[in-house]
Amino acid sequence: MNAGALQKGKGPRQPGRVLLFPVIVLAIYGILFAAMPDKALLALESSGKVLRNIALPLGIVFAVMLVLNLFVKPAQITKFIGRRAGIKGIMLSAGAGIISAGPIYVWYPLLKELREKGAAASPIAVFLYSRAVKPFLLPVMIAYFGWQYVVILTGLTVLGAIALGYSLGLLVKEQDGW
Amino acid sequence: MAGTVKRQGGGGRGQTGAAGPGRGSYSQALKRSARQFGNMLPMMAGVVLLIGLFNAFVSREVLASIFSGNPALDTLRGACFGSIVAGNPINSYIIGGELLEHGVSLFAVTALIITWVTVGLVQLPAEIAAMGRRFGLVRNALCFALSIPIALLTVIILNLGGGGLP
Repeated sequence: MNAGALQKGKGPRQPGRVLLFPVIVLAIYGILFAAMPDKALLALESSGKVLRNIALPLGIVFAVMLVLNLFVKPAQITKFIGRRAGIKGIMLSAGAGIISAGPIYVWYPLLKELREKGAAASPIAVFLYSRAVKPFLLPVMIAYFGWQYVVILTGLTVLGAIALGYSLGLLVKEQDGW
Repeated sequence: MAGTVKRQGGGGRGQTGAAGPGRGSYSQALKRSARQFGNMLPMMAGVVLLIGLFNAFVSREVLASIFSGNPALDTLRGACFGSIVAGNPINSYIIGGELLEHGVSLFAVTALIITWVTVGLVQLPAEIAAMGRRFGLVRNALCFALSIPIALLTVIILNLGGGGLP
């Protein structure tokens, strides 16, 4: 492995860079509160609703991270979803993505942790794509679009996740911090 | 494997003996998890606030007006639209259902449903912060490109099989 690349990928981010995005969003809110206070309040209320919806998934993610930090060693991560994990790693990631709940960004801290422990880019991409299959929402989707449509789309989504994993594995290499 | 060895360092955190983790390990794991989680919170807060802005300023009527009636263009627009917005996937089904009632093609609606979950421009800064710039950009670009053939194939197979919407 390229230790330099890993260190580059893992290195601490400058606090200023990490805070830039939220500060810009807060600045937009500041301008909106001055120009359109009603709309700004509506946006803030909507954000509060989103926050309430993600509270439980965030708790689950934190619990999973804690378990990972306690019991799972980097070598195990590398074995299951590392570069040499192969099709088993891809299938494991697809299954995990399908059963994962909550918005995508809730999972970033956990995925970052997995990455730092030796996970490859492909399984993480497969995990993120497989999240398009939502077992708990399938009844709603069937009600809107019919079961045939849902079966076809679900099958193609899983195949798409695998295709994405392989494509991304070719395009994102170790020198990119993996 | 030098890099891997290096990663495993750091005071033996998460090390488990035959008898399982001790109290010190729990405390270390808790601190480490809290730190990792806390590092991502500002970025996540930014994403949540941005989603609130989007919800407040973009109505469903505005969304329906984006589509022109040309299936090919609408598929692309559906994919673009799904890439920009974020939120519970159930909203994409509801919006998709409404768009179908407005006469928008199933190709476009399918592309929207796929990219709604797989592509995220709103959360891209957070993804880049967590996974790196190249991973974030390449993954989102590939997911966007992949949504078009998947949308086309889904509807073509559905039509070939004689299936239809309820």
